[in-house]
Formats: sequence, C-alpha cells, structure tokens
Amino acid sequence: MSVLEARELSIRFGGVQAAREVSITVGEFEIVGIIGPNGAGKTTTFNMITGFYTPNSGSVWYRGQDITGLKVHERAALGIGRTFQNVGLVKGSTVRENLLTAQHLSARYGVVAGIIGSPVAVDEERVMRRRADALLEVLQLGRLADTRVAGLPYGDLKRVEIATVLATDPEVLLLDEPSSGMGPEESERLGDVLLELRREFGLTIAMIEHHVPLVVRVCDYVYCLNFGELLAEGRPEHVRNHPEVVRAYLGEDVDEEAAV
Amino acid sequence: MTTIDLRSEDPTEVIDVPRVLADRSWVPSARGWLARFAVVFAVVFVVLGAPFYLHTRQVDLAAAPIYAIIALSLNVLIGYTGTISLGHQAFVGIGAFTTAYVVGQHHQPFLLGIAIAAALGGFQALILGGLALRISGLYFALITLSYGVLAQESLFNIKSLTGGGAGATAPMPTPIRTYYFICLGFLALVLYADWRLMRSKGGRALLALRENPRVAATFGINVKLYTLVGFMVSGVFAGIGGALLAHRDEVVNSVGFDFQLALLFVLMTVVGGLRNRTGIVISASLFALLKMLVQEVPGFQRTLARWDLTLPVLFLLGGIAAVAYGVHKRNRIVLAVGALAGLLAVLVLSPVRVPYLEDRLAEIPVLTPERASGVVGPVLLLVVLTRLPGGIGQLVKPIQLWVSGRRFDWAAGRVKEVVITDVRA
Repeated sequence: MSVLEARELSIRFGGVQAAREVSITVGEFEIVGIIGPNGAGKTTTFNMITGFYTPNSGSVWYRGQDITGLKVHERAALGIGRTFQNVGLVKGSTVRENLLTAQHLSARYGVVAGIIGSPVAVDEERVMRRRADALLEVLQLGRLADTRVAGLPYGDLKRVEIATVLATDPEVLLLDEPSSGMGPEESERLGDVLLELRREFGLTIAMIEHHVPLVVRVCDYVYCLNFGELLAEGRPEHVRNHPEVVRAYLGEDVDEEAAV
Repeated sequence: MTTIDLRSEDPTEVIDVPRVLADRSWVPSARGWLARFAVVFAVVFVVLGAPFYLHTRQVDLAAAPIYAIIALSLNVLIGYTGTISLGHQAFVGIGAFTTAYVVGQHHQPFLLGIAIAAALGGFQALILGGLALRISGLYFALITLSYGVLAQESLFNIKSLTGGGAGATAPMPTPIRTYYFICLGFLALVLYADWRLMRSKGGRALLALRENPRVAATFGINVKLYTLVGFMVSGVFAGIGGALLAHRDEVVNSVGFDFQLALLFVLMTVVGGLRNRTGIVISASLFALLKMLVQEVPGFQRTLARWDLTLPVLFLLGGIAAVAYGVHKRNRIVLAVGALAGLLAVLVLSPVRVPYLEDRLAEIPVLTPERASGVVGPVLLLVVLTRLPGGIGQLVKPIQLWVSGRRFDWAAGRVKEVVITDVRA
C-alpha cells in the first residue's frame, strides 16, 4: 500500500496554472525523486502535500486516509516531515534548541506544566534533550550543538535541517533540494546518508532534487514535472533518457546523448 | 547505532562559536569568585535595601517591580510572539479596576483580587489574540491602539464597576515598606514563570512561530493556538501588574490609563532589550524611578528645568565633537555643521544677545520631573534602535556571564541589528 499519495492535484495562482492534475505515489520505504526545471511546480506540489496550499482540485492521501482538509501541524502529527528550499530552521536559536523545538509533538506535557516546572515536564525535557544530543551525535553534528543557527555556513544549515526534521520523528520525509549548496563530492556523500537514514530510521522519502546523478543513484522511482504537469515517471534510468525530459531540461535541438 | 556521516570534509568551513562558550575549561580564581560574590551582594543590597535608605520614596520604589512585571508582559507579546500591543494600558487597567472592584468594593482578600485580575487580564488578551490571528502587522497595531483608547473611554468609565470619573479605591493591603517586598515577590514569580516558559515547549513554540510560522507548523506546532497562548500569558502578567499598581496608588482612575502610558510601556520594553529578562527589569525600573532620580540626583532636576541653558551647552559639546570628528575623518560637511552649531551655542551663551534664538529658547517649557520620561524615553529608544539593538540587556549580558563564572568578554551577547522578525508584518 502506498504511504503517501497525491491524486490529481491542481492549483492555480491568478492566471498561472502552477500544477495540473499532478499524481504522485510514494510507497513504504521508497525513495522517490521529483525532478523538473525551475518553475515546474515541484515545491508547489510539496506545499499542497504538506498543507500550505489548498489545491483547487484533487486530494492527498496518507496511509489510506484523506488528509486534504488537514492543517499543516495536523499533517506533521501524522508523521509527515519536510525540509525547505531556503532552510527551515529557527535562526535565532541554537542547533540544540532547534532539535528541542522540533520535538514539540513528542513532548508529553502541557504549557502550564512547563511554566510551573512540574516534575513531569522537567523529566520530559531531560529525555528530549538526551534525544536531541543523541541525534546530533549520530549525524556527527555534536560540535555544533551550542552554536546559533544564524551564523552557520549554508552546507551546515542543510545538515542541521535534516537532523531537525528527524527530531520531529517522521515516517515520511519530504526533502526540498537537499543537495543545494553542496559540491559534487558532498552530494555524492549525501546519497549515502539518505540510504542510511532510510535503513536506520525506517523512513520513506520523497525529494525534490536537481542533481541528477544523485537522483539516479538513490531513487527507486522518479517523477518529472514541467510547467505544472507530469511529464514522465518511472525508474530513474528510464526517466533520465525520456525524450520529453531531455527536451524540457536542455531545450529542443539537443541529441539524447547529451542528457546528463 | 551506527554513526551517519553528515559532516563536511571541507576544511574552510570554520564554525563561529562565541569565545566565551567555547572556553568551558576556564574557572575563575578564588579572588575572581570573591569579586563576583561582591557584585551579587551589592545588587541584592541595592534591591532589598532600597526602602530602608530611601524611606521617603517607598511609594515610588514600589513602582519599579510593578513596571518590570508589565514590561515582561509586553515582552511576551513583542519579544516572543512577535505581535505589538500599543494598547497595553488597557491590559494593565483591567487588572487594576478588577482588583479595585473585588478588594475595594467587595472587601475580599488582596490575593483573591490579584488572582481574579490575572484571570480577567488573560481572558481579555485572549479576545484580542483572536483578532491577531486574522489581522497582523500595522493594522493589528492600529487595533490594539484603538482598543486601549476604547477601554479607557468606555470600559473604565462604567460607574457601577469602576466608580466612573471619580475612580475606585484599592486599599494597600500592608504598610508601604512591606508592600514593596510583596511586589518584588510577584516579580520573582513572573520571572520564574517566564524563565520556565522559555525553557519548555510552549516558549520554544512561540519563538519558532514568531520567526517563521511555516517552519513552526511543520514541527507540528499549532500556530494559532500558540499565538493565543502568548496573548494569554501576556494578559495574565499584565493583570497582575495592573492589580499591584492599583493597590500602590490606592485610587484607580480611567484618566491615568491613557495612550501615553501604553507608549511608555512599549518604550521601556524595547529599551530593555527584547527577550532579555534582566535588561527589561533594569529598563522598567529605570523608567519607573525616573521621576525620583530626577528629583534625587543633585543638579539633575535643575539641568532639565533650564533647557534654555542646557540646550546651548549640549549644542556646544556636540559641535566640538563634530568638528573633531570632521577634522579626523576629513569630512567637510560634518566639520561645517559642527562649527555652525558650536558658533550658535557660543553666541547664545555669550552676553551678546541673539534676538530671535534666545526668545525661542525661552519659550521652551520647563521640563518637570513628571515629564522626564516623555523626553528620556524616546531619546533612549533612538539610541537603542540605531546603536544598541540588544538594548540594556546587551550591556548587562557580559556582566551576567561573568558573574556566572565565565571569563569577562564584552562581545558576549552582542546583537548586531534589530531583528525584522520582531514584529510580524
């Protein structure tokens, strides 16, 4: 059974049809890639799946449940985590504080208990802190724990963001251009990381990615969007060599050999 | 569990860890600890001893912890939640009139008055918070401003509840000296609550949604709910502050809760430094005690009263500084402006009469101690917004860290600029 399913999502902003009947299916433990030129509607699709945009038509399903009407935080509570193209972190806080903030849902105490400082809240905070430190340790980011996010270089921000979204304890991870700002070698290693994350945390991943070698290496299935429409889908090798995809990426008069 | 290598191998990525934080192994010497202890003792002495060595000023002194509570309440809104309130005199006023009604009119115990004031303060903030979910930025500021004026003109003039124009009485529950310590106790309570809030999930949710509501939502934070939580906490703090203020003044009158008071509240919060408890408490105390300071510090009151003399002197000093700066930086414009200002000042101060200027100077009204905060506040605000974005808190932070056993470092806690996300547009 598919974990996450977008069924014929369409959305229009004024005169622009940003997405037209986009259907995407993500199966359990799959890594699904979404590629396409700039402005193809990839992030728009993500925004409809996570609930920032309400589609004009179509629906979003999560484990057999229609979640089209749910709010962003309600979808997060179901186990849908996401990262952002321009880094989704609380910049004024430290790295550890970000991981604590991200554990909002797993903190089992109320606001008032927190203000009074009840034993339950204090205990729970200790557990959360330990979980945050463990996660940073596993991702080898421990040295950054007390650093304010605002001062970090872009590459570190991307890593911290992944650690933070893992702290939300997701089942499905939506990554928006995880390799942006990374060099070829780094994005190569990012591929290893993603495969390991899937194995260690039992994750299902959908990612928007421009770096095609990375997509080909880690993805089980790839969707290609162009001008808000699904251009092609299938196994990575298949999509990569699809004539329509090649044309969308490289223009009209390029032979297939040049594709990637 | 195996480790997953997310680390970069790029050696050029240097992480900017503040020096003070990086230096964990450093421990102060015995003399260092003694010096720190002396500072803490001095602060405790000044705070707890104030009513004893300033015994004619006890009513004024009690205003310091009360204003601090109100500023902390506003800090929850502006600093944590990121919404501005220009009608905070209404938040405070509702607390004040509530306790006057409960304690003054119905002769219930003082603590019950405070409790009901806190509850009602929270409730009215919740209603305003509901509006903030729909309207934000400048328009919300406008709504809070109107709300404050509306409350003053209508709510605070309902005769059966507030005594109408004559005002309501709220007797002081204890002698004034004890009352100062009661206020300090409530301040400690509010400080504790604020500290706990920011160290638990509620506070972190507020910080996240202030900076980026979208990211907060993906963390599973119910942005609307927590915005309301922020308003509620702020309202409860303000209710307590208002109730304490009422019992200090013993008479509550709607005239006292005008827009100027709200402005003063905002000024003292921003000058103290948003999200910095120590800075806010110091700043609020300063504003609360300004009138007293003006009267008590020798020469201060006269300086303020004689604007016709102090203004030219300020111009002269400024002119000299500008000339020196202009020469140093070879900036002709600064030099010329400085020289002109200095020349004008000298002319005014000299026995030579400058007909127009001196007449105008003589027209400047005398600055009474009561009006001091109206002048000092905006000037401090300008300084903070342009030169000291972290407010007083930024100045105090290095001392705080030093006292807590770190090495002294001026750069600690420095804020580079006013954060735009402070108030959501």
